[in-house]
Amino acid sequence: MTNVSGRGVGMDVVKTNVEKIGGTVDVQSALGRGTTVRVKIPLTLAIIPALVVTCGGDRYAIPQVSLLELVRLEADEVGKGIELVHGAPVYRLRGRLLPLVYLNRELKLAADANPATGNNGAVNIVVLQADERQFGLVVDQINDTEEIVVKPLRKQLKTVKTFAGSSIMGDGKVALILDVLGLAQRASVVTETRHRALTEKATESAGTAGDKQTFLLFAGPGDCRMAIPLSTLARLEEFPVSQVEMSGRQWVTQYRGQILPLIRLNVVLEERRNRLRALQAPPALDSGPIQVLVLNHDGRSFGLVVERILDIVEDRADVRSAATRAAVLYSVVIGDRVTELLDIPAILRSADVSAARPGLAMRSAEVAN
Amino acid sequence: MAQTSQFCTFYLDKLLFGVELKGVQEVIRSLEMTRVPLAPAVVSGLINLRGQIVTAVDLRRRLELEPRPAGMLAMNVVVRSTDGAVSLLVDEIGDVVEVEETTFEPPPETLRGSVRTMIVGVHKLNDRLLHVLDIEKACQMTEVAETAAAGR
Repeated sequence: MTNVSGRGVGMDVVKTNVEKIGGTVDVQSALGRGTTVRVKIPLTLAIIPALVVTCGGDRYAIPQVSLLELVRLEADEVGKGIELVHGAPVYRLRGRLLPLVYLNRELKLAADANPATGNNGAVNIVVLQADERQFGLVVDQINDTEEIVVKPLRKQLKTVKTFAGSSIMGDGKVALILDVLGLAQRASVVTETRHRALTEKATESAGTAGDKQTFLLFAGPGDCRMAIPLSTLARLEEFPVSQVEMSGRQWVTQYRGQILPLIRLNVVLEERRNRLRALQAPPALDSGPIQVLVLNHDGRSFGLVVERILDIVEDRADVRSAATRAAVLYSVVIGDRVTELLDIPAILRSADVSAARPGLAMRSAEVAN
Repeated sequence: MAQTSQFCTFYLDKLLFGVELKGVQEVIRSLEMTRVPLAPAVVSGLINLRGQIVTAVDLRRRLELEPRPAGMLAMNVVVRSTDGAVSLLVDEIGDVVEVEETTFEPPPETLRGSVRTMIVGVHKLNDRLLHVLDIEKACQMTEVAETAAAGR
């Protein structure tokens, strides 16, 4: 051992640390010819593509998943391109108003003495998607896209919601990764209650050109075409009639350790005077298996017995008319055909069932035993 | 023989401070720092310590001392806290001193405020007092943010 010889500690530290993250270290050495060290590091989920921008002299990384597009307004376009809604800057992007957020203002960076430096007065807008909303982030400069390694922020900085993490850039300097949702919340683009997005959805579904919704289409009694929004559906099930039991007048079935009340759509939609008779009818044993939509409403689950499940379709469903009978919300054109959209709370009310609540289901199960 | 302990000492605004040597990872010269907008004021920024991103805490601010004069480069005392490495920015590095338990005294009652939670006490050296700093408390930021907010 000499003053310059190694003590055999360093590579062991490397090995321990590399193996800790699931990699390997392989050393091959030949006397007088040199040494090959192969370090294999697994690609972690922590590597993300990001857009690097500059603002106030610092670089920030924006995860590419939230990135929609980049817009550059030359100096002469800025004046007419950016308008103000009572002081709030917006930009007309293909006919829609895009709220603008200035990164340097949000981060309380000292405004550049001359914001036109290097930009010649041009404005760079990064169009981002946060939740349901889009907004334009105005930055000083757009640099490049890069694959960056995300390093989490320490506890001391966890309170800063605007940043999702940090990363070391190619030149060894640290850059912060913007948390687009956090930034949007800070800039009030997205309120925590998502109020705007909701009202927008409501207006969209009220008839304007809007996003498509997904519906489950099925055949109700008399082969009429009916639908529910897919979001209300928990599962589709098929039960043989022999599994249907009666609890009082209520059809029920045992399902995943619960008693699942079954609501027959033909009973719900029956004329009032005939309803009682239909209600009391026990399941006809000779009929085939029943199709059940398991729904969750208000934290309770129940099964809706339908004739046939047809399809799952995406549609705007923007042509509609008022309902013609109870338990139907309205008639709507889905997939070019008039379809009745069911009113689930109304069905629950009219069927008057105590749908399975976990606790309740257990107690009634004990009684049944 | 009385029990002794070793401290890594440094200066802040001419006061002598010390942290337990066991908690110190390394001492390095001023490094390039990336500022963190919106962060608590005591966080000076993030530094790249050989591939590890370390938060730098301005100890002068943390201890409610005068801000560091412009042009004075800070030294980094990298300490190990429960939340990983944290760099404490100090004016100047002192010696490693070995002190006996008998010279220790808790801070006087007249020392108040959030500083009191960080300063465990002082060791009476021959010519001056060595302020003993609690690493964990000095690195806690949430509390600072709260007190700062309350003070406003």
